[in-house]
Amino acid sequence: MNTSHLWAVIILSGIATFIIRFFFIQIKQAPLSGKVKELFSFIPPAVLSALVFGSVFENGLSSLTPRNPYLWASILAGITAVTSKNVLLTISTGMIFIWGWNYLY
Amino acid sequence: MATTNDYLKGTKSVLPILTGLFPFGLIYGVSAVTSGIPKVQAIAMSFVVFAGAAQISIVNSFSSGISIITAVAIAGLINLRMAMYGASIADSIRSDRLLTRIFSSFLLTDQVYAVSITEKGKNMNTNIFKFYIGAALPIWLTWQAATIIGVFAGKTLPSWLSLEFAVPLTFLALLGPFLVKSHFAVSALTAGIVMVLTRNVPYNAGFFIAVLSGITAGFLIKNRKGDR
Repeated sequence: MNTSHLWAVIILSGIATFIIRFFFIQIKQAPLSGKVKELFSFIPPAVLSALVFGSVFENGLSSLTPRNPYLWASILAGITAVTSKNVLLTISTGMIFIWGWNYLY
Repeated sequence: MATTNDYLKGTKSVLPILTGLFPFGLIYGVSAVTSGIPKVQAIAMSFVVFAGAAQISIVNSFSSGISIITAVAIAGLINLRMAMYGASIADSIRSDRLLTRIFSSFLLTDQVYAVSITEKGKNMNTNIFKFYIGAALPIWLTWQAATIIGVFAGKTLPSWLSLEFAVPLTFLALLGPFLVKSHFAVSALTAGIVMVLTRNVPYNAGFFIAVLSGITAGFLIKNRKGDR
């Protein structure tokens, strides 16, 4: 993706995001059924997790090795995320692990 | 008291949230420029998209070199939750004027939804529209300021800091609170495993297969248990 492609992504994502935000505020009644709402509620955890695994396992299954620092860092950060529910503490834990790893290796 | 200024009430309610939002904006700005996104575009994205996790996903898409359509689809999927927020808060913030509706829609975020829906639940006298705007504007200002500072600080930071790793860590941090509920944990784990297994499927189709598997698995588990 070059920078002119990126302009397209920024503008199209902006339009898509605005439509998502505007849709139910514009439409008179909120027609979302319980089941649809329930399906929607699974989107954030599924999307976020797919993005995390995609980055940590850059080369698919062959990234499943103890030599992959991102694997350890994300396990540590994942435990921090669940126990603390603190965004900055989670990011700090993972980053400090990676800095330590970069220093040692 | 009904006489208190509801705009100010909204602003006050959001102040503690700003202390967490500011560093998040910094991380976005820094990771955008360290991934090679020009400063103008990094800043423009905050004005045009104005949604943290989606913006960070675009940074991720930019550095992994996927297609325009896939990048937009990922950002859209991440933001789809805002449709739920809109549906849930629409009655309280709806205005007769189209421009006002456009304005308040544009400012809809996780944070402003959370504080407004909480206020609506506990205080019948509050004008939720005023409260919402009072909360949304400081969020907008903080996000833009943090982005600009992050963008200009970004390039000065050394590469051994591996700041690009802050991107998946941000997603992980946002994922954390979901994992305490077992059906969300099943959904996340399924999506993650399928993502790894489909890493070599072309056109990033693996991402969408992974997300759909995750949603399906979570939904089935929840409805099989029939509780919560």
